[in-house]
Amino acid sequence: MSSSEILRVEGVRVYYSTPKGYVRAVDDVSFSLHRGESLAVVGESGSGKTTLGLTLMRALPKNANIVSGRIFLNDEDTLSMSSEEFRKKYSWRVISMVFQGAMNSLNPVLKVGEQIAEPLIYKGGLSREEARKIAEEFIELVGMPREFYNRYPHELSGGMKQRIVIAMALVMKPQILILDEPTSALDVTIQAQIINLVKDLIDSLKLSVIFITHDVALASDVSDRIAVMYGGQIVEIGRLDQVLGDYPIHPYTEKLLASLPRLRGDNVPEFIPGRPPDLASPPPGCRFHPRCPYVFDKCRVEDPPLFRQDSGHLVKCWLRG
Amino acid sequence: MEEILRLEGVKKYYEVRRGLLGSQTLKALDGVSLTIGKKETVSVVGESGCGKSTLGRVSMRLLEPTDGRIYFKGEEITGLSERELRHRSFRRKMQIVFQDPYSSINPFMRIGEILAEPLEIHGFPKNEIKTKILQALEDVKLFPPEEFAERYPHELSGGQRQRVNIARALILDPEYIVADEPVSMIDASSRAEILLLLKSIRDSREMGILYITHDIATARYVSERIAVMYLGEVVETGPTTDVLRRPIHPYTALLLNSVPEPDPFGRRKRRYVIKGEPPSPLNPPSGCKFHTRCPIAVEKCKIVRPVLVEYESGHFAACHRAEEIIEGSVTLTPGTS
Repeated sequence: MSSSEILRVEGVRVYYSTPKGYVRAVDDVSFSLHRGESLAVVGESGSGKTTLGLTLMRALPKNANIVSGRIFLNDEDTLSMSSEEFRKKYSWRVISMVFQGAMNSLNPVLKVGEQIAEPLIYKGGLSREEARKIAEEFIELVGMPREFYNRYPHELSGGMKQRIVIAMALVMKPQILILDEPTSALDVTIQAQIINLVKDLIDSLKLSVIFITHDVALASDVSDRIAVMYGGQIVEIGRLDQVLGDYPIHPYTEKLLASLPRLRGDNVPEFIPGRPPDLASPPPGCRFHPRCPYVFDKCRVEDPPLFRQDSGHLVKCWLRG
Repeated sequence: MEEILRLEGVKKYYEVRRGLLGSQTLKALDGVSLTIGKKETVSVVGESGCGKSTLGRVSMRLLEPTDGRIYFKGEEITGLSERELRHRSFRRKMQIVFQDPYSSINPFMRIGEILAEPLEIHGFPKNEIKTKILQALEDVKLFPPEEFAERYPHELSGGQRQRVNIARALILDPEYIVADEPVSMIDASSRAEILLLLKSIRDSREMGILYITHDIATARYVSERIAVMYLGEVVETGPTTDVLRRPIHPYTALLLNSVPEPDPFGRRKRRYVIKGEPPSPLNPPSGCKFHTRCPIAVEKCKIVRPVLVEYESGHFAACHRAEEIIEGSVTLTPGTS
C-alpha cells in the first residue's frame, strides 16, 4: 500500500444466496481511498453500492458471502481476520459508517446524547461523566447546542437526527467515514446544510470519506473522485473533472449524466432504455451491453477490464481500450 | 387559454388535539389560488409539509376544503355531493397518479385487471374494456401491450409500474390529472422517460396537469408555469422559465441555490444555504411566514403578511422587498452566489 492510501480494496466479490441462486451484488471491485480524500460511489438501485459499504464495515446480512478479494486497512488484510477481531480492532475506531436510514433507527427511549456516548463507555472504557463530556463536544461539532444531549429522538427534526447519527459515527474518532445516502430522506434545503457540515468535517477532522449516493449532482458537490457502479461493478473511476468533464467516459456514465434534469442549460433529459441487469444471472460480456448505444460484437461476449485513460482515470469499456 | 381547473382562496385546516382538552389549528393550506389551463402543466414545488400534496388532493376533492372555491371548467364543484361528483362524471374526469409505484398497485392483480377495474366501476361494456386496456398500455409505451396486460406488478421495474399507474389514470379519459411526485422513487435513468410521457399525453390529450414535486429541476421540463409553496401559501408563481431565471421571492432563490448540479469543478465548495428548518405549521410565524429564515427580513416582515403582487407578466411574488430584489439593490447570498 502506498503511503497516501488509507484503504485498498482488491477484487472483492460479495454474493447473496437467495432462492433464485447467487445474486452477485458486488462482483470484482477494486479501488483505493487516499488520506483526506472524499470518494463518491454513485449508482442506481441495485448497483451494489450499499453492499460495498456494508462489506467495508463487515456489517453484511447473514445471507451475504464475501466470495473473494482483499481489503487492506493500514497494510493489514482485514478480510483474513474474523468479524469478531475486525469489530474489536477496526469498527468505529478506524472505519465507521452512517447507515442508510440510520436517523430513523435511533432508540426512541434513550436520550440522543446517551446514544452518542454509549460506545465510549462500552468500547472505550470511559466513565459516564467522561463519555458525556465527549458526546457533548461532538453534538457541538455537528452544529447543535450541547444541551441537546438530553433530548429524545422524537424532539428532533430529520436534519437534527441526521446530525446526531453523524456524531455517533464520529465519536470514536475514526479515520474513514462511510456515508450511505445520508440526505436522501431530507428536503433539499436541509440536505444542503448537512452537506456543508460533511465538507467542514472532512477538513477539520482530516477524514477520508466514502460517500454513497444515487445522486451524481450531490456526489460532485462533496467529492474529489467519483466511482460509478453498474450491475455490481465499478465501470468508471476518476477525479471529478475527469468523470464529469469533457473526457471520454463510460457510456453508462454518459447516459446517466444525460438523464439528469438540470436547473440551468438547454439539455433535455434523455432516458436509458431497458433496465439494470438481473444480478442472479447477469448478461455475458459487458453488463451494460444490452442498454448501450455503442455496443459492438466484442461487448456481447467479453467482459472489458478497467482501461486507464490518458487523463489517468479508469473506464471499463472496450471503446476506451 | 381555456381553463380546466381553478382554485380560489382555498383553505384546508385541521384541528389537531393537543393534550386532554386543548386543540390547535393546523393550516395545511392557507388561501391558495391557482389556475390550470387546457394543455397546460402547472408545477407546485416546495419542501415537505408545505401543503403541496394537500393542494393536489383538495383540488380534485379527495379532501374537503375548509374554505374557498374550486371550479372545473368554469363550473363550481366545491359544494357538490359525492353522488353528484360521480353522476356528472367529475370523478371520472379528474385522476391522480401517486408517488409510490410499489404500494399504489395491487400486487395480486395482473396489469390488465388493474386497468380494467376503473372501467368496470364506471360501467363500461365488457367488449370495450379489452381494447381500452391495450390502447392505454400502448399510450404509456408498454410494448407489446398484450404481453404486459398478462403480467404481475412484481415482474415490472419501478419505471414500468409508474407507467401502469399513469395508464390507470388515463384510461377513463380524464381532463385533469394530479401527478404527485411521480418520479421521486424512480431511478435517474428512467425518470426522464416518465417526464417525457407526462408531457406527450398532456399535448395529445389536451389535459391539464398539476405536477407536484420537491425537485425543481424536473418541474422545469414538464411545466409551463410553476407555483412555489411555503407553509401552506403560494409565495411565488409565474412562467417556469421566469421563476427559475429571475426568482423574486428570497425563498425561491435560496431553494434554487440549494439544488446541487453535476459540476466537474464543484469540489467541496461551500454552498450558501437557508438557515434553520421550516417552522411547525401548527405555530407558523407572524407576518411573512418565511421571515424567521429570510436573510433580508425587516421589521415589517414580522408583522404584515405580504400578498401576491404581479411584477412582470404573469409573475407574482409575495414579498415586501420584492422591488428592491428586482432592482438588485439587495442581495441574498453574501460572498457566494
